[in-house]
Amino acid sequence: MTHPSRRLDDDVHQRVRLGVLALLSGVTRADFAQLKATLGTTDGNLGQHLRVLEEAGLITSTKDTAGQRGRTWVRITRKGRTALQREIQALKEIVAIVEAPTDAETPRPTPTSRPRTT
Amino acid sequence: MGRRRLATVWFPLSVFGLIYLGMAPLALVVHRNHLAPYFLVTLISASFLTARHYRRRGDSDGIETAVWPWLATSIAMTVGGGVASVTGFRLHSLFLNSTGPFLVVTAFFLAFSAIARSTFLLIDALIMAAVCAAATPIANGDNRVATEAIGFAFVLLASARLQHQAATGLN
Repeated sequence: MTHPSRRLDDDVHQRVRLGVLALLSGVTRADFAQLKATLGTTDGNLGQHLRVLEEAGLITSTKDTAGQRGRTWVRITRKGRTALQREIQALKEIVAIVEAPTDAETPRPTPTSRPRTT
Repeated sequence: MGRRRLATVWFPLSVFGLIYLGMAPLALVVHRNHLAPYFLVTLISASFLTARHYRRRGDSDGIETAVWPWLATSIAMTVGGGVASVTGFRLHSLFLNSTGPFLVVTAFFLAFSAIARSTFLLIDALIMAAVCAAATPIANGDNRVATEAIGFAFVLLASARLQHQAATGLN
């Protein structure tokens, strides 16, 4: 059985990218400004990570040119949801491994008393 | 149901609370078995208002949540309530005719609370069930429906206010 860390996806397993997918998984779509504010990153940094995710097919982005300022809306794809679920599952398994009791903590069975022989 | 979607549930709760508030006097005036036109008009209006609210909120917040779950649910609840009412009428069951529709809504809220793991919605469902139980002894069907409608209106509007306050704390 492979260690769950081997199932972590490099496209997903990055702070901003994981945050983007997690945020988008709960909504229909979010705009660039909202993602930037929620994840506490800069325009350039977020733009770079969104490009990575889009090239991997995990999100789609559309530009809305209505109004004075155009807005970029971002939406998670089905592939993105699957990738996120796999990442979450792998992380859960890693947590389970870390939190499992070690040998030193596993209670030893109490030895039964035997008559001493000298 | 995402946390974001739960945070905006106060609006459809408010709308449905007002619909029940309007239903109460109408049940006494036009008779409880003639409320179908009222529900048709209010359902269409409520759907339009909810869709517009979510669209506007999405534009201002930069986060859009889907409207269709609310629309589908409100349609399903209304149709289910109508079926219960008509079935009760045909079977000459005052309970099914007068309380059945409200129990359908209660069941939906119970299901929501489990899916969304929402204590708010669970409490709403329990109070709704209590309203139905408290109204059961009322012998007159129209009076029973009006009482249940008032009770449901109170629950929905109070819940909407509390959830709006809680949601404001999320931002």
